[in-house]
Amino acid sequence: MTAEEFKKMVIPYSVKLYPMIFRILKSEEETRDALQDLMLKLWDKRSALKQCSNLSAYIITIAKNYSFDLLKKKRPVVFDENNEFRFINIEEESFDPDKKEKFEYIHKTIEQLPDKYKTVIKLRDIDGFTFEEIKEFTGFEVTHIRVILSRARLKVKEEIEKIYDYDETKRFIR
Amino acid sequence: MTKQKDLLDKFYRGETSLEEEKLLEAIFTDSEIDSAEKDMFTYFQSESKVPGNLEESVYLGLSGKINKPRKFKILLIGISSAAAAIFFLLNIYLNHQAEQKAKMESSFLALEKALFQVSESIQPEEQQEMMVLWVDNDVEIIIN
Repeated sequence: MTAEEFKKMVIPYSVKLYPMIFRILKSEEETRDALQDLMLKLWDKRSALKQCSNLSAYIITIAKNYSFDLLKKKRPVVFDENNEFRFINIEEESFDPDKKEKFEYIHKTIEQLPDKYKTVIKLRDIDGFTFEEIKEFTGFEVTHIRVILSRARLKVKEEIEKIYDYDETKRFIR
Repeated sequence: MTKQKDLLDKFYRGETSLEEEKLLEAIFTDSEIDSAEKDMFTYFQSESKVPGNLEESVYLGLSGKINKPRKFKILLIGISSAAAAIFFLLNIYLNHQAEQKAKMESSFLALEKALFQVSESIQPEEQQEMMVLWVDNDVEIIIN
C-alpha cells in the first residue's frame, strides 16, 4: 500500500475512531497522539492491509486492541474544577449550563447501563459504526446488537423523561 | 409526520440504517420543540464532535514519524551490518593466521625431526679402537 493509498483508505478512520478514543483519554491532544500512534501501527501493517479483503474489519480489530491497551495503561482521570467540563465532549466554558447539566445527566444514564448496552449504544449513536463494525468490536451477532441497541435507546429515553418534562402533544409538530 | 413517527419507532426497535439515524438527528437537533429525542440526539452529536483538521494533522504527524525513524533505522541497520562484516572478516583473518602459524610450527617440527634423523643417519659410526702404524703423504697404514 503506497502512502497515497494509505492516506485515502486508512487515514479517514482517524475521524471515525476519534470519539471512541477521546472517551478513553478525555483529552484532545492525547487523542490526536494516540490516533497517530494507531495509524503508525496500521502503516507498519500496510502490506497485510493491501491483501486484506475486509479492510474495515481489520482496522477495527487493531483499533479495538489498541483501545484496550489504552484502557489498561490509562491513569485514573482526576476531575478538578477546570477540566470537569471535559467529562463530556464540550469545550466552550460559556456552554449553556442547563444544556451542560442535561448532557451530564444523559452521560450518567448511559454510563449506568449494563456494560454491553452502553458499549453498543456508544458505538452506534455516538461513533456511527455499522452493525458489522460493532460486531467486530463486541463479537455479538448483528440481531443481538439490534436488540441490545433497542433496549439501550429505550432505557435512555425513559430515564431522560423521568427527569425532564416534555409536552407529549407537541412532539411531532414542527 | 407519520413518517417521522414511523422512523422514530424503527429507531427504538434498533432497525434504522445509519442514513435514517442521520436524518432523525437532523430533524430533532433542529427542532424547536423540546423532547427526550432532541436532548438525546443533541448529546450524541456533541459527543461525536471531531476537531476540524484532524485527518490532516494525523497524516502530517504520521509522515513525520514514518520518515524519521526510517532514516534512523536504515542508519542503524547500515552501521550494525558494517560492524558485523568487519567482525566476520577479522575473525576469518585471525583464524587464518593462527592456522598458518600452527601449520608452520608443525611443518617446522616435522622438518626438524627429519633433519635430525638424516643427520643421525649420516653421522660416521663411532670410531672403533685402531692403531695407526704409518702416515705420510702417500701411505696410511692402520690396523683395526
